[in-house]
Amino acid sequence: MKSLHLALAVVGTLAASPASAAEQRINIGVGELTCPTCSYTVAAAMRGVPSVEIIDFMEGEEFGTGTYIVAFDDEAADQDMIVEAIRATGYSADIVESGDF
Amino acid sequence: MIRTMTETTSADRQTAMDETGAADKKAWTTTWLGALGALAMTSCCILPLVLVSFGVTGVFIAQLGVLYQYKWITFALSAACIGYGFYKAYRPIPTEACADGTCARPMNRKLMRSILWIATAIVTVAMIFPYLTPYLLSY
Repeated sequence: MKSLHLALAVVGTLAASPASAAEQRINIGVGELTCPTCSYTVAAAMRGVPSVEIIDFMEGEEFGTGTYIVAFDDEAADQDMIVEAIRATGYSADIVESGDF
Repeated sequence: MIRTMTETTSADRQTAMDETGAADKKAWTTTWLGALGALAMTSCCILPLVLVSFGVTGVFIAQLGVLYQYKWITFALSAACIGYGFYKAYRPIPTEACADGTCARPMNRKLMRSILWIATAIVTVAMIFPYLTPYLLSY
């Protein structure tokens, strides 16, 4: 009975605590987008990472470059996972600051 | 005399059959090259998108995209092969070839035509798709 109370107390505490998951937004600069569908291919690769959502894509000034604004749940994914997902398809990718594009 | 004529006719027929066989082989080769060209045309843009959508990854995905800059060369070669294939597939069969009741063209024209039409459709889609992408797909 004592252990049941203890278990209920733990469950209650966990349920009452606020969720720590939060939406994160990052900008990812991608290169080697040499074809019209390349940006969509990269987007498809990023969507393979759990919770990732592409908010926007902006073409860069240089040919073949672009920046994605990506949102993700920091409990389900992290920025390295997203960058790695892009790099795994052969495109260059880096996290960029908001003012860098 | 009769024997000589018969031999000559037989030899001529054999030569004609050999020529037809060589021509058929050439027609099939160009048809398959046209089909191969059609697939090559999808390699730059449609194929990587499909592969990534199915979870396939690899550095080759970005390398396929580089092929886009050669699309006019690929298109020209595919179109030439498909065009020649269509010429061979739809060319009327000479009446002499079927004069004796057995057609000297055993080529499966129906199959060849089907392959050529499919290749044409793929080439057309591969050419148009990149321009339609912004309207068809979203991030």
